[in-house]
Amino acid sequence: MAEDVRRFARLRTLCEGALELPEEQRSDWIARMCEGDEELIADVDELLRRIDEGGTLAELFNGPRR
Amino acid sequence: MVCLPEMKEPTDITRLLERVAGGDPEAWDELLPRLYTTLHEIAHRLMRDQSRGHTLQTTALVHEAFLKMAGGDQRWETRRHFERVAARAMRAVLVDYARARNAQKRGEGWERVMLTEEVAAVTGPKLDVLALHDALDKLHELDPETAEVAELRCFGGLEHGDIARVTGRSKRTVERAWRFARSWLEREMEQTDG
Repeated sequence: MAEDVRRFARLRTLCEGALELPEEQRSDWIARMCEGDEELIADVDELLRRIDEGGTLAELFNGPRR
Repeated sequence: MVCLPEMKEPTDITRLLERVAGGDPEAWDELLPRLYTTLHEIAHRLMRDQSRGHTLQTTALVHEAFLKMAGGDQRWETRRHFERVAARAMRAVLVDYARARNAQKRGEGWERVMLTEEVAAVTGPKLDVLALHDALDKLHELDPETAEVAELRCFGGLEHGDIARVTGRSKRTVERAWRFARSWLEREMEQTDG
């Protein structure tokens, strides 16, 4: 569980950090930060894609775009 | 039906909540209709967003949420606490209804809850309340603060600014937390679907 919590925190930090960067710099930055952890890179990429595309919860609860 | 007075300033409600917490019965009598109004607004927002197949009676849902809240030993010292309690109660009510509906589908003889209010014509994306409930539980284990933001958003019906106010965080922090939480929750809900 402690490991899950640490990994979640890392995933969140990476996603939020990536979103602060210009889009073209993101993948390099993520690769550098993940230090070859391919699973983590894939997780970050998927969550960023979902943030970008939106989904059921976004449609239901996001309201007007800010 | 209670005859509802005009809503006053939020600070007024905070004072009432403090007086209720201090055991003042008159404050409770004043608070009751406002609590009802607030819960009804929450329920209405949620009902508006429910899937078409979700047959609920708004008034019954609100009433049940209220009983859950008043039945516990919650001390509502502040509006902040109140909003959290309301969201938690709403979540419990919707999960109960979703479970009842599932049981009914399996032929376990639940009485059908008839829709009498504004939900009949609602279309839109389908929300699996139970999947969201389970995903939120998991998120809570990993990151309670992010889970709280998501719970207030999904079940409390609060906007980012309101969530920032009731949790004492900046709006920017709340927006970031929600952005991440919703994508994580959506993935989690899809994975649970199989």
